[in-house]
Amino acid sequence: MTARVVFKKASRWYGPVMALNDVSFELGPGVYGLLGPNGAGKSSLLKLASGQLRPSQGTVELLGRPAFGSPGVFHSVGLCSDTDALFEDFTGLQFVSALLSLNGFDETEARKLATEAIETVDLKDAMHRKVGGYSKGMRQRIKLAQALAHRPEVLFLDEPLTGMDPQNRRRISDLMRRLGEEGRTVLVSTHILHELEQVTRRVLLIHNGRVLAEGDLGEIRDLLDRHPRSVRIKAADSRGLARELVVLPDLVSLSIEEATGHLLAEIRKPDAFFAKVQELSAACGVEEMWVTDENLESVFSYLVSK
Amino acid sequence: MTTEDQALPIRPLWPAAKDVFFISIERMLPRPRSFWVFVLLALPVFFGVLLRIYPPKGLPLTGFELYGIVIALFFIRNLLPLVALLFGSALISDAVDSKTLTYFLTRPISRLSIFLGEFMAYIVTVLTLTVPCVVFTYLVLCLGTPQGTGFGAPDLVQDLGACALTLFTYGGVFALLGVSLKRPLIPGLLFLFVWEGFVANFPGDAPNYTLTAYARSLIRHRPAEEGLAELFSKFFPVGESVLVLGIVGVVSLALAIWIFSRREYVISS
Amino acid sequence: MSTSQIYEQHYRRLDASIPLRAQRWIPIAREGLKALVGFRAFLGLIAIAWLPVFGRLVQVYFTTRFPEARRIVPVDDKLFFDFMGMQIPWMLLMSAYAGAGLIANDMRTGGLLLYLSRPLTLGDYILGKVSILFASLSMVTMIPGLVLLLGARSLAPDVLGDASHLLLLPKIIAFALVMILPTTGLVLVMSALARNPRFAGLGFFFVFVGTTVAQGIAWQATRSPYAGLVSIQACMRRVGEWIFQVKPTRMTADLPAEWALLVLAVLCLGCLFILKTRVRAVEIVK
Repeated sequence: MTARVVFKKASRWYGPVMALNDVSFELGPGVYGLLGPNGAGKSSLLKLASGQLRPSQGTVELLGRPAFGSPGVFHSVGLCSDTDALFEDFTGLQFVSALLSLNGFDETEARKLATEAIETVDLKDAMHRKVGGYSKGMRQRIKLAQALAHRPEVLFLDEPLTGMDPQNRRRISDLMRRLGEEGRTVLVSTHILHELEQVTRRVLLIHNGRVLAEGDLGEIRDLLDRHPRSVRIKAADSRGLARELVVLPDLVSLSIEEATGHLLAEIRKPDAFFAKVQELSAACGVEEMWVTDENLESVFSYLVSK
Repeated sequence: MTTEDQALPIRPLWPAAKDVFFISIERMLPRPRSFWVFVLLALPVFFGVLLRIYPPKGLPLTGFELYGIVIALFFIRNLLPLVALLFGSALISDAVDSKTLTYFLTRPISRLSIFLGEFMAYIVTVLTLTVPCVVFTYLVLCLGTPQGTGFGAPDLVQDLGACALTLFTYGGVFALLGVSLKRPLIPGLLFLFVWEGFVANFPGDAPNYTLTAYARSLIRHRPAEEGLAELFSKFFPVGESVLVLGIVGVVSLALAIWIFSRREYVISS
Repeated sequence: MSTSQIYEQHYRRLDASIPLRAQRWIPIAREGLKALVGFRAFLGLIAIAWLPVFGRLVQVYFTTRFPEARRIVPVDDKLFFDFMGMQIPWMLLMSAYAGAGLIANDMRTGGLLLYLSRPLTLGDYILGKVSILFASLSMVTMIPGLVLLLGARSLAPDVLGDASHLLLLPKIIAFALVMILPTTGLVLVMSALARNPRFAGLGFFFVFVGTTVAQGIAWQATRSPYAGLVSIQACMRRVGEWIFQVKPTRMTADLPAEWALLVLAVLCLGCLFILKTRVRAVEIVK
């Protein structure tokens, strides 16, 4: 598999401000989440990846070519930026068709592709209305449509779910997942953590211009051996279960939550712990068990605190 | 499919520029500012109609002479350079301010085609606003007069050419300003009213370094100058004026394209 | 006991009174000026606009050393009238720089909503913006004029120190107001209409220059002094000629100064009307 987006020791600064510092990673097919707090460097990373800026140091390659100064790659690249800027006097269909014409499609083909893309984002009813009259969510969807319309292999989506209602968020999240399954490379920058988790497990965590971690969320979690896993167990006999589990050598802490009666454990070696709980499940009436910190927020806060 | 296959070559220059042109013209021409510019440029037409309806006693000038004053003073010397500053400096900076430049920069087209498409849209827009005003001014002031409209028709054609060349040259200069500077308005106004306004009337070779001196040399039937301009203003042969204005316009555009091709645009919400 | 309620949906008159502070426009003016003073271009423009003050003071000093020179370059009301007249281009540039974005930026970015969500009226907002521009334009017209007067009086007390020249102070202030107020109104109207500072500034120049050129053409065609009523600059100069009692220019010699003043007054009122109707927090999208 050839990597489509390649950062090699890329740095970017604006005057004295370092936006990205020595960033290296590769992206192949699939959906990747780009996560970081405000000012982490997410927008700069996306701008470098989409060829709008050149790196101050290092290289950024898109489909095998330098991202900046290679407009030819944009036959296969789509960008949905975070700016709320559109051609206000154009209708939705005109807007997407006009941009498709820049990709080299003739008028008929451009209209056909534009209509398909607009249907994908569920804006067909409004496509003959001027974009200037669209609501925030509609504006976001039409921006997405222009990014998708030419069926690019690589998609950069900067905060694509901003301003959308829950129903459309779900629709767009499903779309992103589908695009990843089709073999495209989708890099999504978002703050909405729980929705990103529904779309992908592959993440790129960035903070203060540096990549903290990249890869599968679970694997990253596993690598954080300094932090014990937090597990919550719902059982009929929590105290009896606690008496049996307290002897385990890799157990860090054990408590019973007063409000719910659930058992809360922090463990270093989850496999041994899970096996023990399985043994005791019948005797102690174990109903449910789940890991509470294998999510983006927890992983990110652990990494930032390192 | 390898990644190299997925990156096709950029689109040829002229088809891409044409597509940029069609998008830009739709965003430039049918706008309130174009309408108001047209109204201002059409002031001589309204004035001419008033003069024809209420002719003053003992009108000192013929209609054609008055038309000559309008062309030289109103259009060539004052309004057209302002029109060029308004539209020319906004060529790329408008797209930057409205944050829509990203849409062009993330398409498989060269920056040269983007710039050329925008400049073509500028030329078509300003000529669409200017040509009818000049023609109607001529017709309103000369139709039905003893000299008639045929008398000055060759001059009208030359004047239209002078207007087009003035808009082209100033447009190139201000496009360069717009691409180079974040705020081109004040430097543009200083250029127009200090450099072009005063230096063109200095003695010696100073007018050689202004554009307005060459532009007004293109008007064959220009009125006599008054004041300082009467003493010091310089006029050049038409051929030389066309050449100088053309070269300045082309060089300015080339520089503007060179800067635009290399510049990074940090456009964020 | 339940505290939930369902309210009847009929019209209810708001009886609340708004306890507004006095001089609510002052913070707008203060912050606006503070922001402008932070720009080097603003200070540079003021510095260049003040250069003629020193030129004129040198001229006055020259006449004190060589009194015969006063026959060629007299030190009288005309000196101050000419000086103020020559500040008009700097006033125009300052208007375009400091004034074009005053309202346009607020309307474009939604900043107007921030202002009007405070205990301010629309009048306070407009007054605040007018104050910013008034102060900026005073710095290139009225204040240099007054400094020139002070400097010239101290250099040539024998000429300017007598009672007949006491009226120079109100004359300079009056002419400055005649220049500043219509300019302020026009720039703010352009700023409110254009939503883009560049277009607002250029629109202002279009109107100012366009009307001046139109006056020239109209005069050429008709030789009527009333052609001057078309030009804002000509009206300003005509009123200034009347204030300073100097010989009027050829084109407007027979134009009654009251007519010129009336045109400027109508312009100011018209601009105020347009500002009040145009500047609003809500844009109705059709």
